[in-house]
Amino acid sequence: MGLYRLVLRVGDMAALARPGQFVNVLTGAGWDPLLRRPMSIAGIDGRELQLLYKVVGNGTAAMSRWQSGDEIDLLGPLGNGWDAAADGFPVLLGGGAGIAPVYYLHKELLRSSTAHHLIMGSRSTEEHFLQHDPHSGISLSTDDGSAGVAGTVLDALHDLMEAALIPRSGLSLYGCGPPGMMRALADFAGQHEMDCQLALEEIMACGIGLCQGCNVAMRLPGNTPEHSYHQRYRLSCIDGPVFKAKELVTWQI
Amino acid sequence: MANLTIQLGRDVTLSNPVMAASGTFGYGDEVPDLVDVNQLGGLVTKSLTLRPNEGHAPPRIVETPAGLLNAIGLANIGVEAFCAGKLPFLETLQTQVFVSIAGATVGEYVDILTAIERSGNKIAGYEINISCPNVDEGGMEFGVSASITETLTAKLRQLTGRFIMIKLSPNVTHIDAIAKAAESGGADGISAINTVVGLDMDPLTGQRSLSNLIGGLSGPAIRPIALAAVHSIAGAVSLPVIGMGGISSAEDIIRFVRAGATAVQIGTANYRDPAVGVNLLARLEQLMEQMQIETLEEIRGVIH
Ligand SMILES: Cc1cc2nc3c(=O)[nH]c(=O)nc-3n(C[C@H](O)[C@H](O)[C@H](O)COP(=O)(O)OP(=O)(O)OC[C@H]3O[C@@H](n4cnc5c(N)ncnc54)[C@H](O)[C@@H]3O)c2cc1C
Ligand SMILES: Cc1cc2nc3c(=O)[nH]c(=O)nc-3n(C[C@H](O)[C@H](O)[C@H](O)COP(=O)(O)O)c2cc1C
Repeated sequence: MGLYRLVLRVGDMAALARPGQFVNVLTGAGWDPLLRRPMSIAGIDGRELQLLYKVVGNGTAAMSRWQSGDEIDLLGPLGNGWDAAADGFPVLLGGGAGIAPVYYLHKELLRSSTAHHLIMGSRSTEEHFLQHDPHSGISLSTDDGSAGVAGTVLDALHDLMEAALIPRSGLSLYGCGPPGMMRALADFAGQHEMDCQLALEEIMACGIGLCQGCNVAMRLPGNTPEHSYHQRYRLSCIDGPVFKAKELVTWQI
Repeated sequence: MANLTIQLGRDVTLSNPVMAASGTFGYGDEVPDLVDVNQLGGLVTKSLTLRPNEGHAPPRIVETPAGLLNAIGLANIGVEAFCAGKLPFLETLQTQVFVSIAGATVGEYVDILTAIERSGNKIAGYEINISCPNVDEGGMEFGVSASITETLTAKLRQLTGRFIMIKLSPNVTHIDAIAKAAESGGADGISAINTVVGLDMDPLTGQRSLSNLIGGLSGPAIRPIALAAVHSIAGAVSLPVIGMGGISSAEDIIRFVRAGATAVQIGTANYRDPAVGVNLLARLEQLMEQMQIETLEEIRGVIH
């Protein structure tokens, strides 16, 4: 199953958005689903906002039935966004629908002529909308080898290092994807002492810090008191969705 | 002309019957761009505990049919940080502010309320969340015992002249008996209902949906349960009942009034739209005109 692309005319909101932020979308007037669905901003073009999403349930299925000209209700931009000023050569890694926030950052880096490499991974070629072209900064990977490197985004990263298409050290990783991919990225970044930011896709209710539902477990400093608030857990919607991999407890990712 | 003003207590008037429910509107300072909080009749803050509290591990929420199941675990900043950091802002609001408090012992409720009485002078009153495990009673919730509810209410009554509403749990056999106990203890109002106990898991893997396994159900799914509870309470006590549970429309507000509520609170619907409470008011007035009533009082308790 491929990715859907949605282009929304959002007016002034577009000017406020930063890569790594998201919008919270009301997918219908009824109660299925009851809550909004968070979606990363995949790009901004003038006063238009782009989403890239996969249909996994009723909310995203409803979105896929929207017609050109429909009016929809969304809140945003929400969340912190990537810290694009991190040191090091940026390598952007997106897995499946996790490409969305990474793709927006890629576009912004292109716009500011910042050298970087984008790696997009998916199960098979159907989800890919880019061309595998490692020499010009874009690599693809597929689980089934039907496009680009056969394997994961990390396999593609290894290949790029072997081929000296990206530096071996001093990388700064920006990742979003399924939990397995994000865990592997966090481990890899930890072993190689690389800066790594991850955009988490925790399930959320409100998206604006009211419900406290999307908490993320943080690595605790030794002196954290028994009674604390906002230390053991942060909220993905307002403190994230982007976190530094080294600050997260691995099982949380 | 419809008149939405509600006389809740001797000293407490609401500009309209709609308040934001505890735990669904933070401390009122999170949403300034999205809604003018002052247009709400009232605001109940996230339940405060004596010490700061991190709450439960993730995952804390899961959506179920027309409902939200949550086990947040009373994550909150604690009463000290509240008095220093949140109360000054809340006191600038024109809307009526009720501070929700939650203790693990009767002594903790007393300490929390005392701390707020010492620093706050402009709040309308308190909502006492008694759906909390009582450590002195082996973790049994305060709200399941009529005698503990009465004792707790009476203790708190001695400490403040402000409006005290006791918020009841629906997870009891006779909610009317608990309401009567709160009335005997000196409460000024009863709010109901808190969430309905629930559980969910992934059917194929067996993976629990909430880290805490058990959670509280809210949203449209619980509306009929809440209406029956409000009806039962309103028949048992002569205090104003503040009804809630699954309200998402002006029609829902009227349902609660007909079941016996004097005012209402909106919870889960705020997560869809934080301005829902304010936005429903125009429709509510329209419906009142359609029913040819000037005040909601005229249809309170009226079901044929
Ligand atoms: C900040 C953020 C940004 C996101 N950005 C995107 C994006 O750009 N593109 C995109 O396709 N998706 C994105 N997601 C995930 C997206 O929100 C979910 O896929 C969506 O909520 C599913 O809704 P549904 O009603 O279709 O499915 P549901 O019926 O709610 O769920 C169907 C299945 O998907 C699982 N699921 C539901 N929500 C999530 C989630 N948040 N993460 C993982 N699994 C989930 C459920 O457990 C269930 O198995 C993002 C999530 C967050 C929190
Ligand atoms: C995520 C969440 C957190 C809540 N936190 C509290 C709380 O701290 N104290 C409290 O008394 N009620 C709390 N509630 C219960 C609500 O105030 C309300 O009683 C309940 O959700 C029913 O109303 P609703 O269906 O409109 O949401 C919470 C509800 C939700 C969904």
